[in-house]
Amino acid sequence: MTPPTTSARGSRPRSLYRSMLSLAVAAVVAASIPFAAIYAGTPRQLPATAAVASAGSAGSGQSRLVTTASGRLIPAGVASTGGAGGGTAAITTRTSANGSD
Amino acid sequence: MLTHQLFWITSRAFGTIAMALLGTSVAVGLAMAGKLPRKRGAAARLRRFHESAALVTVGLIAAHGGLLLFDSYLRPGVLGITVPFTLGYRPLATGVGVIAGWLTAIFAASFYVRRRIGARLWRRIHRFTPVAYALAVFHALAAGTDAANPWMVATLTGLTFPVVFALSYRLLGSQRDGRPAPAAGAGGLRSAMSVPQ
Repeated sequence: MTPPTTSARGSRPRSLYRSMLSLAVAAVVAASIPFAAIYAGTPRQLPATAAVASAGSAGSGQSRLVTTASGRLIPAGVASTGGAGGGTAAITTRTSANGSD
Repeated sequence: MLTHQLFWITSRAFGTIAMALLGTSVAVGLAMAGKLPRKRGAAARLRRFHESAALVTVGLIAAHGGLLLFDSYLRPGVLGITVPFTLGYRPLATGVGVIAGWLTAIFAASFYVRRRIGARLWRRIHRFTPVAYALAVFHALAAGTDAANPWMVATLTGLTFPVVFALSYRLLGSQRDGRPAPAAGAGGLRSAMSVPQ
């Protein structure tokens, strides 16, 4: 075991400082991801060209997600409120952007 | 129901795996650049993993976009999945995803033109790899319908932590050293990737 050389002196605290600062930065950035996800989950404006149909309306096409009144996207099959043409205003159905569905 | 959404579900799965592999590959690359692996021979092994992971990521991204072509709901068209901001569905988020995909493909392909373009230029190009990762995270959060799911949030958080740690570690190291970049050429590249003894 050789003693540390002059050039190596002080490298451990610097390395520790480097690691700690890197960990702190990484923790802050990583911790911001859930907040970004929450922000991304906020209600969005549907594309203007997308047809908006009331839930359960006949021939509304390949509905995959529905936007609830609170703005959350949920699978279309889950929210079955409103019958044929029931027009439950709280739930809308997203269709394809070209509106052909 | 399942067959109807098969392409969309499969595309999401490929996108999620691509995201995970991209994050891992970027973190490993940054760790190598920051000389974090100290064990003898570890850098060479990690480099092999980094290179192959990047290539597989490009394949997964191609599958992620390509499968959407068959999705009767989205109907993106070839233009929509290859040219940024041309897709009608969340144009910004999907456009950023397309850019991230192209950047990842360029960075992965750069392994094979390294000798032709020189190590210095290769390193300059490669420094922007974290940008591709950041764009991919934005795409996953803003365009992905799984963004609000706890498992996706946990995955992205878990992937981002080592990437940012390795990036900070590398940046702090280069600031502290204040050394000029190693000379161009294979020797320079080796010294940049070498493990400190």
